[in-house]
Amino acid sequence: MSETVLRTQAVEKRFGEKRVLNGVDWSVPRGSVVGLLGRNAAGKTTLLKLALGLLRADHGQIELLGEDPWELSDETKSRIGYVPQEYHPYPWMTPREVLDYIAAFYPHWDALFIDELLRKWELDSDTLSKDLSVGQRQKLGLLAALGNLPELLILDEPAASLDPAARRAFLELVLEVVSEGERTVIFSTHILSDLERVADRVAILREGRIVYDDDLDSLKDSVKRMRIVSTSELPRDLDIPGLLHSKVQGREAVISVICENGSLAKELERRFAAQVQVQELNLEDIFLEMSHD
Amino acid sequence: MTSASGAAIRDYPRRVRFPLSLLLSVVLLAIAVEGHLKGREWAGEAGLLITSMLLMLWAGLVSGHLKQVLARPEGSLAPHYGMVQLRVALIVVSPPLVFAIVGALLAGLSLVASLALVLLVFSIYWSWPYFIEHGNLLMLFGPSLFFMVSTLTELPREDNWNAWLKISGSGTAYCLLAIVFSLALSAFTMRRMLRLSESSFEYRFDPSICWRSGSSPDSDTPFIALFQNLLPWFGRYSLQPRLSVYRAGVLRRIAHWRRGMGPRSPMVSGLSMALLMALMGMFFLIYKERHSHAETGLMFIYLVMLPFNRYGHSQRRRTYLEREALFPVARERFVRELGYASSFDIFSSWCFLCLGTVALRMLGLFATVSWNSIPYLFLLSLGTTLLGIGFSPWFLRFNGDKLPALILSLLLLIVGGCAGLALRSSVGFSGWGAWLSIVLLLCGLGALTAYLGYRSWGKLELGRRDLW
Repeated sequence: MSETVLRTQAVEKRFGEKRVLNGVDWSVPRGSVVGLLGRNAAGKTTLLKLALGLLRADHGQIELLGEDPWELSDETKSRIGYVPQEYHPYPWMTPREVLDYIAAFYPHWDALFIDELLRKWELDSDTLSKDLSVGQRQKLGLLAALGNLPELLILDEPAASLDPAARRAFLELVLEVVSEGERTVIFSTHILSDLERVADRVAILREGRIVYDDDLDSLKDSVKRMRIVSTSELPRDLDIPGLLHSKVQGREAVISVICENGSLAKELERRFAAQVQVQELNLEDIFLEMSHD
Repeated sequence: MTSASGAAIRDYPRRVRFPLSLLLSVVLLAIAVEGHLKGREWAGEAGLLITSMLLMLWAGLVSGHLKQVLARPEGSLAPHYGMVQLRVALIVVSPPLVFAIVGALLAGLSLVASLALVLLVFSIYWSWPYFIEHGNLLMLFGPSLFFMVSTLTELPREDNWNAWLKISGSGTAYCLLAIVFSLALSAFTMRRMLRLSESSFEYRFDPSICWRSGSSPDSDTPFIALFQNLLPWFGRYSLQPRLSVYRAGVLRRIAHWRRGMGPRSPMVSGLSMALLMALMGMFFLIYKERHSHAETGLMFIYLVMLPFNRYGHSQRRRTYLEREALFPVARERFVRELGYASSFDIFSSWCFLCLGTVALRMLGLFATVSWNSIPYLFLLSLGTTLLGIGFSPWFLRFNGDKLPALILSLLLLIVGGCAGLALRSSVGFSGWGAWLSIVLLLCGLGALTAYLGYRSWGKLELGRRDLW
């Protein structure tokens, strides 16, 4: 069985004149919890929809659980769960009826597991879905996506429309579910606290491309901000490998860089005859540096 | 039968509209059978009416339900989901469909005409991105009411009505064309429908979002959605007012007017009206028009189209009013903008209606309708429209709810239709005084109810006494 659940290669997508994705190369290893990070309108939702076959790519190749998402077999569909940004259940059904209805389409539906979660999450199973709060609807969406015990769970900014308290509670539920079994989870977000709480791997989408795809810890270790103070005028174009962002003023420069190794600071000291101060960045700063235009 | 099919079937009775429609069908059929058994004169006519109503009712309801369940992420991601839904819909729609077609054949209707009617209605519903709204329901009953009015008022009693219904050669050609068109449209839409993403669902299929955001308020305008579905680029050229685009001057002012009417321009509404008129004209050809029959039919079109469109716009405008009422805006501005919008709106609709009538008359349809009847028809529809707009505030509590809107629309048609029929038979199309009196009465009633209604609404719902 493939160790990669999702692989995209040179994927492009346009909406009219607007190019949303511009050659996305990305792979998601089995068993990982991946946070897809990007600013608003970066193309996260588009990428996830392409991955699920809800949209069709203009160019490039996508493989989801070994198949073309546009032609997913029913067997593969039964191994996937998906929670959209705003889940709209069938408005004329109660949550219980929604779950029973969806269960009928899946060969392996764990009704006991879902019943237990339904009770535990205190979802009002007698109210019509259209009358549920946003938070309750998202919970219902997660339940509907979990009942078939999916190998791959895709969540598209599932908590974006919730308030901080509800978001925290929702993510705890996700964590609880994720911790059980060998499940791959991909979730898009632009809220970094969500990412830190849940993900063990991160992919950053910027200008239609994946600009970073690695462990979360590696990301924190590798991205640094450096202040360079030279004895002579610094060039405008610093030409540093892994450079994310730079601001040069005379003999001083502040750069953000992905350090491939720990010796970059010393190399820069030698190269520019300068003093280099290295500053650790928190995740929010890292995200800002990486998504800087 | 698989559990998935069982679940899909069990979903139908869960929705109130299906048991209610079933009950309505049974009642209608019982009335027709009772009339037939007792040899009532009206039983044959009622059979025709009931048949067409049942066909449209079931085609509309099932296709509406189908769209709602398919246009979801589950439609693409749950195993076998789409095919199960289609199979079950076919099962649900089959018995009433077969019954109605057999009934139509027994009543003397041509098979090809029956099929054309069913398929046309089904494809219109199916291709309509927004599901049941009051306009949609009116579309459901509109053609049926048309048949009812024209049949009950104009049917020559001395003739055998079966002979009257015999389809002409050109009618058969139109029917075949309608069948091909319907099948092509349905297949095209089905292809799209089965691949709809959840964002499409959010944007296009949740009426509450449409209503409250005002982002896609065309759910009440027939055929616009059909255009949108057929022509993806249509929305781009739909003259949507973006105020930032109109820097200053006249264009900005016009954009403000149109803003009061919602994003789509009345020109699009006019086009939709012209298309609907063409469709109705086709029915005239199929059922071989007679002189006075055509006149009644045209009157009915005028009665349906203007109130229908204007009522839709007035409801949309209300949404804007509701939103803007939250801002500290002077009531004069409301009144002025609504006034401009209404005038512009009704005038443009009237122009398109006139152009449509002239075009159809030149094409040979309504050739027997006298030219001087048109201003009278417009007067009548104007009065009925204003009456409807006047009553609409009373339904504000049910904002977005289709049932009160439907009831209001039907009441309007009945009031307008009765007034028009009575006037035509008593004074014809030459008694300006009588026609103007009726219209002024309708307008006066409309103005009074509008005043009271908006005042009551502003006070009760918005807590603002200064709005009116």
